Amino acid sequence: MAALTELCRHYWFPLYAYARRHGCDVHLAQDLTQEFFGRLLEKNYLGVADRRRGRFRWFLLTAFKCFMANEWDRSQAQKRGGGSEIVSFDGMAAEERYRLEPEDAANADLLYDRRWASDLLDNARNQLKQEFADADRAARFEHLEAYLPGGEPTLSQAEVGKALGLTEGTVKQEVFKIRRRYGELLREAVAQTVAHPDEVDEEISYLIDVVSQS
Amino acid sequence: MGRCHDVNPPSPSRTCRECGLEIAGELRGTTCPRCSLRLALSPEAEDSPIGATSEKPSTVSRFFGDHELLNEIARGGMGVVYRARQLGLNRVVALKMVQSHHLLSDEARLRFRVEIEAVAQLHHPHIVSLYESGEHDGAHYFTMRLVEGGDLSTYLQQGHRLEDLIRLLMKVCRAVHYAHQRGILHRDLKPSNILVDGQGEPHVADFGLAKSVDQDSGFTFTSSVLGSPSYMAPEQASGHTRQLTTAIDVYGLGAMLYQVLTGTPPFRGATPIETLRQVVDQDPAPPRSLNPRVDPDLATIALKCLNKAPLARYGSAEELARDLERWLAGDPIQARPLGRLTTTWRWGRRHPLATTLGAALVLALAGVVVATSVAAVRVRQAEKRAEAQLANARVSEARALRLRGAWGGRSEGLRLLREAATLDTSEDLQLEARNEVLALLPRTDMPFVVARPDAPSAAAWLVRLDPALEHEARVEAGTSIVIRALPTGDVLRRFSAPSNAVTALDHFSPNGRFLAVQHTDHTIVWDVTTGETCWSRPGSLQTAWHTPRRASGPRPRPLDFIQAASCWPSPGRITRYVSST
Repeated sequence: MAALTELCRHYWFPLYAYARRHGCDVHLAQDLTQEFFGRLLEKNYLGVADRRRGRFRWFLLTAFKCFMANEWDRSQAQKRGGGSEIVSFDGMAAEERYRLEPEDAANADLLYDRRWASDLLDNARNQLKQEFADADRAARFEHLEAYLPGGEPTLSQAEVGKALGLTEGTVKQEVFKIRRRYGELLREAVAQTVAHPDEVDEEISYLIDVVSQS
Repeated sequence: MGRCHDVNPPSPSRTCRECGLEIAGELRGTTCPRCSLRLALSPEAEDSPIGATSEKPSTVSRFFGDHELLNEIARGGMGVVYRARQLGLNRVVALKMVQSHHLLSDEARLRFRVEIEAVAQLHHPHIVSLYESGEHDGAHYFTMRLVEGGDLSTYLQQGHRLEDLIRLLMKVCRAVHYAHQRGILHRDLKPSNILVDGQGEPHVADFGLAKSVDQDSGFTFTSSVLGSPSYMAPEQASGHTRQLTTAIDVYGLGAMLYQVLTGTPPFRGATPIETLRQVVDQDPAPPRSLNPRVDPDLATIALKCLNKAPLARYGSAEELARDLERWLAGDPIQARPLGRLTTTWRWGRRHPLATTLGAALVLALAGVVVATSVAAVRVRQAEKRAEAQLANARVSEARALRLRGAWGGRSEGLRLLREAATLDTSEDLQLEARNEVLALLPRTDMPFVVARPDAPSAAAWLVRLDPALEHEARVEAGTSIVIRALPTGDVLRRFSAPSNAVTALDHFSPNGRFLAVQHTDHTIVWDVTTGETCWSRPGSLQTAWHTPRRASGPRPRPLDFIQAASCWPSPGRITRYVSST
């Protein structure tokens, strides 16, 4: 249950942003999203077997749309702050993040996928950063981070080598290793959201594609 | 969420006319989203027919471009529907106002117009014709033929004969098939989209307009407001495939047939979310468990349409219509191939005279004299007719698979044609089957894979990423492997074994230089940096990449497994191979 709650916390923002995109004001979007996850967890709609049925990302959005269209009880809005919060969230941080996003004319479903993908990629990056920090290699991560997918290195590998006291050859090797570890972390995360391990690469390919379109 | 656009220009007031809350600045309309949602989705508005109802029309009358709005007749996911008079032609039409927040970008509006224009080309007696589309006062709209009557849900409650309902569904199937042949899916088939006029004729509405999210489409239509997902195909609900096919409409037709038989859709949870979960997870209850009087053959037809695996359903809506036609004629259906004796028995149930004659034949055979009696000939003729029909059905199914271009269609199609050829040895059928084989053989394809719950989608086998997420390998056109850089998508290399179609990509080596690929007859390891094969063995072999370590113990005997060095920068070396179990 704790893992499930963590999973839901993970995907809170993409659904919140979807609701905002569809014209809900801040409070309504927060209530909708919170109530949705609350119901899912309370009634165990997201049992382990369910999560691995098809693409969780897609299923979650479809279920949220159903919820928005049919289940929202207007009276719930009047009870804001009264019910128990099963999934903790920082509503103001989410709204701030939403407002800071550039205007995008793409449809809401594509934006949802982009945010989903961004969150997954960012989480893998943060996990990797933590691993380096735990090994007292935070400085090394700072220099190599730019070589992760989506990064834009400003220093050449020779210059990075000089800064870290490594040969260029060693830097090349380190870049390869950090990218491979990043790939492992991302695959682990995505594997939780697809029905079969062989679908992981296809899902990652799609997520990288939608992020690069933004 | 629904946002109903008033045909009058937006009021200068920025508070909701329903609840008085302040409306966010970027929103249009005079109601806040919450009230818009409530108004749009109140129980009496949900799934209302777009045909005229028996309710007393309101007296609202407004002008909207060349149309006079007479009264509102429905509210649905896409917007509001009015009965309107087209002033220029003095005819009464249905006018649907589209919620513009779905069409935020120029591209989305362009796609909307393209979609409308494609659907407007559908001319079929059982498809609601689109007349025109346009924009007026910032609101997008389209007009269509006004169907006087209710929808299928209403019609089902009026107690019509089962045969009449089946005939009605047949017409719907053929209308759907007509659209499929022109490249248009419906995507949202349900009773509320089937209008039935005063003569009991069905008319399929909202064709092609209920586009669910599709990354190529650029816009959603009804996706923001989903009614009940009871009729939604599981692959739509779960996103198991990004490619939606005609199979989703066959599913919807089957769901409606199920409702005709049992009075309820195949899935209906306490909440739409629960319904969605059932659609993805559960098998529908056998119709006869809900209504013991349901005809077994009709139940079989419905369940075939509702198969979770798209390829296990009818190959086309036309195939479904034909099986319903067979049922109406008392002939064996295709959905459940019957053994010869069972064929005779079931045929006999509907043709008692021939059964009597058949029984006489059995007695004669059991007795001393083997007959070339008239009775025996008649029974045999009936059997041959049944076999011929089955053979025709097989050929049609194979043709449909080929036209759909579905993966696995080639091998499955050939199997169906072989079956047809053994069932019917007539010259006509043999020629037809042969022609179909010739059309099918040049196709490159993957073998048919049964979509088990624990199996990945077919497309998953066609994409692989290297461990460092630097390169993507993807199969194109069945035989080519394209290597692209991530995330730019720039094509770095393309290679192929033309005589050997790709059935699946295995994995990159740990150093990302080599890629193991399953071809039709071989397993090949490609060097993606050069595009050359560096290893090949016949057969479908299970591959695994291992990092060589310094062996401290005895060297293992040469078991069968691929090995490649993962230590960069040394290139990988293939040393051994494996046989599949």
